[in-house]
Amino acid sequence: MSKRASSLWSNLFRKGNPLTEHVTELWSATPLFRDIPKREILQLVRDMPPRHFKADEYIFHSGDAGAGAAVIINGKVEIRSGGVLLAELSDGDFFGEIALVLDVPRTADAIAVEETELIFFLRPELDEWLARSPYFAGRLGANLAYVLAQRLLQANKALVHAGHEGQL
Amino acid sequence: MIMRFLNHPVGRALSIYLAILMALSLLILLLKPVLIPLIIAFILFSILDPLKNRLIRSGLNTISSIMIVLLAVVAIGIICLVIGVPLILDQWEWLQTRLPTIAAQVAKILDNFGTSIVNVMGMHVDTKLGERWLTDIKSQGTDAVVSSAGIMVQSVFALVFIPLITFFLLRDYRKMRNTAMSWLPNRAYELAWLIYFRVAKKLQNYIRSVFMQSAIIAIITVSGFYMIGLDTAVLFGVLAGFLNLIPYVGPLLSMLPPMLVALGVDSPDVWMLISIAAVVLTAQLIDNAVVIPSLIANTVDLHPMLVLLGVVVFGYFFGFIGMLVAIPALATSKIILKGLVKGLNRSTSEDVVYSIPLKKTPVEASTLSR
Repeated sequence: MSKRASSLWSNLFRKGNPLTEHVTELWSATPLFRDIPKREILQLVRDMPPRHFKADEYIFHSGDAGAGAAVIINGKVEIRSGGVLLAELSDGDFFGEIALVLDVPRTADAIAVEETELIFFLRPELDEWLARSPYFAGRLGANLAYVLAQRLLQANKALVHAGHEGQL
Repeated sequence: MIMRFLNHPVGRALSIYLAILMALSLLILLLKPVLIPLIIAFILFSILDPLKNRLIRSGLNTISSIMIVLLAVVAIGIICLVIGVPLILDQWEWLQTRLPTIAAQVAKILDNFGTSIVNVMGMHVDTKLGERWLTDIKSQGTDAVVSSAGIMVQSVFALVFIPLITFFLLRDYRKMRNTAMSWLPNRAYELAWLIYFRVAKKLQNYIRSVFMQSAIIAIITVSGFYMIGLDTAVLFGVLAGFLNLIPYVGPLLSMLPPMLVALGVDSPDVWMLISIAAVVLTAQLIDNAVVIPSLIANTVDLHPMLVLLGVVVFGYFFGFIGMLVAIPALATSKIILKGLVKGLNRSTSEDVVYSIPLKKTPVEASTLSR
């Protein structure tokens, strides 16, 4: 079989892009995409190129416009607010999901601690997904509400805890 | 002073906006030979994309959905070509045979009007206006015949090019856009997406609404002109629909051609003139009372004076096309500038929702209180 013909066959029966499949797995493991079929997630991440950040590069500053959430493909990210370290995130963790709901500025800094590769899931993508596939995009909305409610609960607990220790 | 202005968010926003404008102008210059078919393909894409999504939602795959909507458009196009175009061409031919008489009659009226103003008010008016208008029309008629061969070639090219580009836009627009966005530096990435999101949403809504509005106006005016017995009802009704794309000035312009035809007889019928005005005004009344509140409201948030000025200035510099693109261009500029100023002016407001990252497993309260 000639080289040209073989490349045609390999195109017809080609396997998916390994990076796309890996990112699909990463998003699928997050509570945001719980109960959403992988083929739907694959459709979403297929055309979204990853972003590369150098060590110590800001992913976003507090006060920046936020367009969506991001999942870390590889690397480490620190979330800081007013110099206070809020969280250290690594492969498979996600952040910035409030921007999927509200058009508000970021209120914390996200900094790549080492060479980091991440992929965004942005509000325009969510909007278009909602038009194409409202059932599953609605599922994401419910998951997002669950995640944010969990966060509120934790924040309440933290406030009560701080109150008991007289820090408030 | 200049450096201080350029470091200010407004100055930075303005310089970025000017850079975008220059890049766009260069792109328009490069794409000039295919600009009109490209714009039409984008307009079709804006209108057809929601229909494609509706078909995808009903369970069809993407390619089948695209083919169905495109075939529907081609079918509608063929029906228009078979039924509508011959009718319009017939009426156009009739108009052309009547044109010298109409022009002569209107020229006579204009000259009489000019002379009477000179006599009654003492004002100087160019009394040879009508004569010159007649010569202009004759020369334009000759030019139109000469250029018609070129137009035919362009039309055939557009007929092939437009559906092809629309097909690729419907299939690959998302991929093309995401790839283009990926060329942006990290610091501009999210802001650019936000601005794109706002612009795209507004423009798509505007295009869909305005074209639907024009179709409604065309149907009303064609029916109205037909009922009052105007010989060129379809031609002028469709023209009224197109002219309606120009805000404020369009409805007035749409009244002009049928009025001139009605005036272009030996003894102009006053009732016909009133009826023409009544049809156009009724169409505008329905448009303002029903169509605009349900379709157009909130699609563009521009002051009427700015719209009017924009239409006149764009019309002066870029002609008819300029009048059509004035509103979308102004609305886009407003969103880009507003988005840039807001994005470059880092907000420190404390009343925004506090954004705390979330791990795959819920973050422990102890982490949050650190």
